[in-house]
Amino acid sequence: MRKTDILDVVSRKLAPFMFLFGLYLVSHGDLSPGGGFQGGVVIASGVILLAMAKGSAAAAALLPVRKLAVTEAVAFGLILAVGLAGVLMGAGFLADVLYDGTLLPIVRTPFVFILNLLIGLKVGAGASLICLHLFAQE
Amino acid sequence: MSSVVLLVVLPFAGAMIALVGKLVRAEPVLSVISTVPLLGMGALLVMQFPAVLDGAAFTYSLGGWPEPAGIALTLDGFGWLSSVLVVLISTMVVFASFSSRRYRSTYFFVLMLLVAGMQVVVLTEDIFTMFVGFEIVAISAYVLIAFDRTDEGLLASLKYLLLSSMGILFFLFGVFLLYRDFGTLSLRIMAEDSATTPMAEMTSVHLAVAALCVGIGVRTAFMPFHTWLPEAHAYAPHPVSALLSGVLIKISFFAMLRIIAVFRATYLSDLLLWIGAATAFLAVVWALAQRDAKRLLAYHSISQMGYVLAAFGATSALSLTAAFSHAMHHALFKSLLFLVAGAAVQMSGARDLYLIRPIGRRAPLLAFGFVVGALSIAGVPPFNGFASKQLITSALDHHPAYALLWITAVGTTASFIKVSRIVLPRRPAGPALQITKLMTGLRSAHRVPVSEPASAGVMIHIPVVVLGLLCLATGVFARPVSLLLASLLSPTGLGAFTTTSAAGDPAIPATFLSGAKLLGALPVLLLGVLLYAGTTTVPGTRLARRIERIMPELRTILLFFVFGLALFAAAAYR
Repeated sequence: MRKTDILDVVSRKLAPFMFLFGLYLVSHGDLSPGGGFQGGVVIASGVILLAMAKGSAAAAALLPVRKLAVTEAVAFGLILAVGLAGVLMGAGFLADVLYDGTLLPIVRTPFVFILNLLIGLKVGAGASLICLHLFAQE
Repeated sequence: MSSVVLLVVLPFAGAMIALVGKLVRAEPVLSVISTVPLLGMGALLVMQFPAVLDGAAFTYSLGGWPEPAGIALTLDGFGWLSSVLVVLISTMVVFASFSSRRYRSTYFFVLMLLVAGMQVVVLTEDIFTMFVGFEIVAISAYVLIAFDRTDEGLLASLKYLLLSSMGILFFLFGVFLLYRDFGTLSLRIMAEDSATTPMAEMTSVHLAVAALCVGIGVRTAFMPFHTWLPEAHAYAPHPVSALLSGVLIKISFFAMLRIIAVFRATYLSDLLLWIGAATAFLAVVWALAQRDAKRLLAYHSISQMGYVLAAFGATSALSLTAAFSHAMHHALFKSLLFLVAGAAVQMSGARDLYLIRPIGRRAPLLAFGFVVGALSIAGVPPFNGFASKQLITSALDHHPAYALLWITAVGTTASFIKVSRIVLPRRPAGPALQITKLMTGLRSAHRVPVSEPASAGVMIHIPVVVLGLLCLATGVFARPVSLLLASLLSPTGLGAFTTTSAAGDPAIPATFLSGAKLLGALPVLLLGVLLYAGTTTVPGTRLARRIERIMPELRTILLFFVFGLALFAAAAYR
């Protein structure tokens, strides 16, 4: 089957915007619909789009498998560490350790932002890894 | 109490360490470190023991959010016992995994994830989190079953994946119905709400409980939802088989106990009793027909879970203690049996009972461990199987279904005489040789895989010795052990389910080893020997081959699911 250039061009143009939208979902998850998991999946779907249109080698050149694996493991560790930080400070698992009792005019919660960021990294790296491994096996 | 949350977070941390191990050079070291959290969990459980024994229940809200919005974890006597089971058997399995030297950090990552999932299931107070726990358990189990990448393992894993995903959809449907009715996912709040509502007004709750029971029933593998289990447990890597048969099926059973207790679904007890007795009997018939050592053991797991279910369904003063103690004892002796059988299979490269080379001379300690396990499961005094079967006998108290269980005990004895081939060095001569030749000539209904012989390692002796001693100890000290179980279980909400006498004394027999009881075990043993002799005759072997071939197809099992849902829901309107 012949591959057209349309697929190639569109996916190359579209993928950066998917990454950007994924990052937006991750970073605004504490204020608006979205969050770490959703954003991470959107980022991973950008990687999958590239892998399907340009081949898994091209996608792996952009995001090397090894770096993704390291990101996933480190993010996993950091999520556990952030959760356990609450236990260490006597506030309980996953308790907001950054909240000092003052209410801000805009309700941004740095703690939730950090958690979303880590979950986004973990999910994005994990889902991309699964797909890259599957494509590589074909 | 943060120790409750640590019981869930520690295994996840272990999994994370193993994941890092994949990326750095020090993979073996990190594999070992990844299993250290099991020790921490053990220590935490030991520290909590006195308080839990006093009837304390530690509740922990994740993130500090109170219930109905937040997720609570609870460690009470019930959760403590389940956690101890998970930690103990997992530790033994970890030793066995190190022993075979074939598994790297990816394996330990999935193994620790499985442990974490089981801890979530047993400790959570939130039914959706329970669902998530079941899925973590299932996904790691799929990977572990197929881990050796044998053809049979991959197929078994796929079959388990199909069936348990179908089953968990029923569970999810039940969760949806409950959330629709109660507006909360917390089991504790649901229990409070449903206590004030009359049973007749909870029609959709009956359907929800039925759906949850079917979903969990697929994981617990009672008949007719059992068909994935023989393959999954037989073709998984040997240590994994021990973990699956030892703990995994119990965890889902414990979850079912919780749900039945929360909704006071006592109307299910007769159904559970008969399903349990039928499961025990039918599974032992299939077990007798098997010639693959691990398949035979897997069928026995189904059969013994039937015992547990029947004891629980009896709703007498003893039944909860009896069910729990048999579940615990089964975990001990079945993981022992799977570990030794796995070692024997690995050492001779054959799984066929008629081709396997006996390990009696080469590994006497393992052979001894196997004998202990076999005597336990066959209910020979003074091992623990005898003790818990005594409790079950008293719990059922001349119920008609007990006849089925008695026949099952005969079948169990017979099939373990058959499996003793893997330990006893024997020279077939005369008619025995003829039979062996005939059996090796007869084709089995399932291809019995052959692998390269390999050493089983030295470390395998640690779990075998520990589990063997525990089998003996829980049998000899049966009365204190069952009193302990009863006192741990009675303060939890489960006590209300069984009709315990007013004083809360569950009527544990004063002695487990009286002369009359010992004599009572004798006919079972004698008939078992006769039955074994029967199966070695030519018509017996032909019949066995025929039974072995009966296997429902996947689409039939899906019908069973729907049928089971209708049956469980209809039980409320009897």
